[in-house]
Amino acid sequence: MIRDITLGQYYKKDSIVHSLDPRVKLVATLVFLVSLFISTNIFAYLFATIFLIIAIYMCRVPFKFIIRGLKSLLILLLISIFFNLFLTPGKIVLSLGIFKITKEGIIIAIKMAIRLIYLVIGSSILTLTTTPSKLTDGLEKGLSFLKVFKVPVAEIALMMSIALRFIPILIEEVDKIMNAQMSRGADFEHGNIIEKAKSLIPLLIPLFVSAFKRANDLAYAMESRCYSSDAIRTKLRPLKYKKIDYMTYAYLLLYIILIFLTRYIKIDGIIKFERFL
Amino acid sequence: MSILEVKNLKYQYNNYEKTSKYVLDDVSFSIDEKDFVAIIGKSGSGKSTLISHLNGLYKATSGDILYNGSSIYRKDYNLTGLRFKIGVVFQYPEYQLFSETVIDDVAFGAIKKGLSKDEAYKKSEEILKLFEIEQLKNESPFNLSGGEKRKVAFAGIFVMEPEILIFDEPDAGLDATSKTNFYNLIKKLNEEKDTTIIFITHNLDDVMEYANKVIVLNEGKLLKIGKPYEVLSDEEIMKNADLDMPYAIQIFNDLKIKGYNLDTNKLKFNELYNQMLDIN
Repeated sequence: MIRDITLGQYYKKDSIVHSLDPRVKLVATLVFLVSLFISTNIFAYLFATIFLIIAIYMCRVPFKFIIRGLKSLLILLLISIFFNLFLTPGKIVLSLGIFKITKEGIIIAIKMAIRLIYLVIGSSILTLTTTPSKLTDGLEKGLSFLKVFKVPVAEIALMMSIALRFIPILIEEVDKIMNAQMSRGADFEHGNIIEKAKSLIPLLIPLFVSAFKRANDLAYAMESRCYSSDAIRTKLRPLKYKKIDYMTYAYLLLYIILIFLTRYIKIDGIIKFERFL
Repeated sequence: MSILEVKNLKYQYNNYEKTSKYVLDDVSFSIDEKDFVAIIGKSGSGKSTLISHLNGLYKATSGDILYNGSSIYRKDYNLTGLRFKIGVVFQYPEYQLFSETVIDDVAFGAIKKGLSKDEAYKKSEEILKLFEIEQLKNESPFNLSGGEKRKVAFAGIFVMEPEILIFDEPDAGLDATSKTNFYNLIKKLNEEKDTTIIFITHNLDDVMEYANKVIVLNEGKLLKIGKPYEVLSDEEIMKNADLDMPYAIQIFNDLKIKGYNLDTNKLKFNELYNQMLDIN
């Protein structure tokens, strides 16, 4: 159950996506996420789907592994669908007592579901194909222009990398704690919601204790190695754009243009370009 | 009669890649009631994964485990019930301590088993006495030393009075006296209450001293199961498992080669000592 959370996990594989510069992947993910939210009609979603399929295919991470992360999203997804479906005003299609399903509600619910699913898959691909250290390197370099405005980019990057690094460790720890407590007869699966919440105490307390201990140990380790975030550092493997990275940027540009173009497509029985021409 | 039977157990951690290695590869053995079993093997040989299977925490990729003759992988099998009968103490006590006081923590398993609160606390107190930590009963488990935490973790399993007790490296973090006390305690349980004991260890002297059966694992495969002398004196097995033969066995073997008549069933420290004294 707990192993289903793929967010923040790295999947080792030798693929084009893995070898891309982390800055490219960061920008691509950002562009993809933005494109999801500016998409207004079916063509934009079509392009986003194609984009996603290509990315999934190229990163060579097993599809099953990528969508594993979606299981934990299910509740959020259901809540969003529920609210959109019943609380959007418009043309009533179906009426169930106080609940009214409208045509607009259905469309928005579907859109939101697609957005959420694509969002998780898209960001999963980023973390699955990029090691936390590369991700932080990319962030640090990509955001280094903010240093001019006195933004502590290095510290933020460090915090991010620690947070990302510790997700899989904590997940593993949850697994071990659950095993230890289940060996003592703890039951995490059965019972009503109050019993379930109560049964989490034996899980959460050891988890917090160990997380704080880990944070403490890490701080000591960094102190004893005289870590300082404003030291000037050189990199073992400096980030450098390769040909493939520029090509990816070009494809990204094409994708953005396509997405923007879809905003001018109007569907009125037949498809026609409006305003644009 | 065998109380626990493992049949062709196979397990891999990651099912998404066909190439991924088996952590347990075709492991079969059976354990009789009242056995005192040691599982040995170097780090990463699958020892801990194996014991997580024995009380149904992990589901094997293929193979079967029989407890008292019935498969624990049957659909309607009561796994929580099984866990009260097969108690597993894991390597890190920090993972199971959560209550405000030591006694609350120890009583947790007993209450889950269905005992009334009074009974559970009475029993917990008895168990704490067994481990000689009754003075700690109202302390917070988080303020204890490593060895004390370990004892509390043991107590938390002992209180359920399981038929089989399984320990993952019970001697880690215990001082010499506590370790001897601990082994004597489980020996007593084994002799008086017929509790079956399974323990993982890296200390082969302890294996000779306490175990009556030894399982050797290497890279997920079962290399050998047998009596301590059979296993520990088998040069090929020990070499394959990357383990060093205990000095006592080496000396013992050399003496045997020189023609001295020694009993291979008497390997405990006192017995060995007396055997060697009797040589003259």
